[in-house]
Amino acid sequence: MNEIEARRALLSDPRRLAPELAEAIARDARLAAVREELLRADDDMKRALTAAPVPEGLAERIVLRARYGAGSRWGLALAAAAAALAIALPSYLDRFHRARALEIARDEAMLRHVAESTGELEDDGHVEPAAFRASVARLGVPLRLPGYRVRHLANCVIAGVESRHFVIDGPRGPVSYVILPGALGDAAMRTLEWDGMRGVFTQRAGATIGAFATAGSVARPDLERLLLAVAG
Amino acid sequence: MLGRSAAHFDQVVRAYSPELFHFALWLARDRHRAEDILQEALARAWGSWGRVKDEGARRAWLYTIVRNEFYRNDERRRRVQEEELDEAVLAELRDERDFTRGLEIRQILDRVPAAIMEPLVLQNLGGLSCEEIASVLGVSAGAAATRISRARSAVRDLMRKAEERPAAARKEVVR
Repeated sequence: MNEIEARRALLSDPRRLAPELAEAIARDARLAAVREELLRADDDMKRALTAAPVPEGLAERIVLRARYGAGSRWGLALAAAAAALAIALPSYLDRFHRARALEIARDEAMLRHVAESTGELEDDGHVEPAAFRASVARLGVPLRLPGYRVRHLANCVIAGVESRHFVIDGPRGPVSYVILPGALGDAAMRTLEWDGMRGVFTQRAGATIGAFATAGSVARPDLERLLLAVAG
Repeated sequence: MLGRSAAHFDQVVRAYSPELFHFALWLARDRHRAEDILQEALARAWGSWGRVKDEGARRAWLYTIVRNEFYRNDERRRRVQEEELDEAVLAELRDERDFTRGLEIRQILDRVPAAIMEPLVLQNLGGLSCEEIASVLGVSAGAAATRISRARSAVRDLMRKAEERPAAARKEVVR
């Protein structure tokens, strides 16, 4: 193998060395230096390609989707609920991870619904407190009346589950709330951001309740306060 | 049998989903789309899980399915096909002085046409051999090796130019 052939072979794969190439490198320090440079460049490239964090719970969502056939990432909830009933999970850890993956998928579905439903921000006038209470009560979730005018209230389906979406005139602009029944019971408050929209989430009475506002308009602690003001 | 396949599928997904996600992310350049592509691809993979008899071929098979899922998107497929896979493209990149000013490796990866970079990304991320890359791309092993060499040469040239620039002139790129 001459030097040109060796360089060409190194460029196509500097890690897997045919015996002939390994011999050529052992004989020629310049080839060894070329290989070192290529390996360093490969390492740099790999660092760049893998710099983005892998989404939390990705493997669990893939398994659930593949095995239980949810229609999309956002339609995962029904599949996961079926999975939770159908599978005897081998360990508490597995149960914990799967439940957490499901909750995150539900949160993402709510956040995406709010971010994409810009029509819901239209002002429909004042929604009467009695109408608000009756609508929310049908989901079996006791909520406090928000201290601000409810300008929009809608029934919607998120992840295959009947939900409510209402919008208030908050102190710094409109704030959306979504109530999605079917929570698995993790009461810890979580925050997610997507496409400039921030959502904070908690659970009450078997439902996930989320409050949403554009990330630039309402600070996270304020959004959490607005959520707790309604969720109690 | 089904139980054993399911357990094996779980195990493979947990082992390979991070690198497959990064491959999908490199293809799609969007985290949400990358996850959608990966979920859909692996749902398809599960549907024909038993067809792969040689476990040594499993990884390349998964990359093939993820790649195929991505290329189902017509818009993207058109865009990539329009990129000319010839020396002129690389020569143009090498000569683009404005571009080489302040290069970072991520910019290089984004800028070299996907059709040129793809075999190198497969080798780098998945550790696939030239033969496996050839099977993913549907080309001969020789053609795969040639493409990898050209991609690596292009990246190497651009990285050298980037290194020639003073560090202060480089820009941080956030994807």
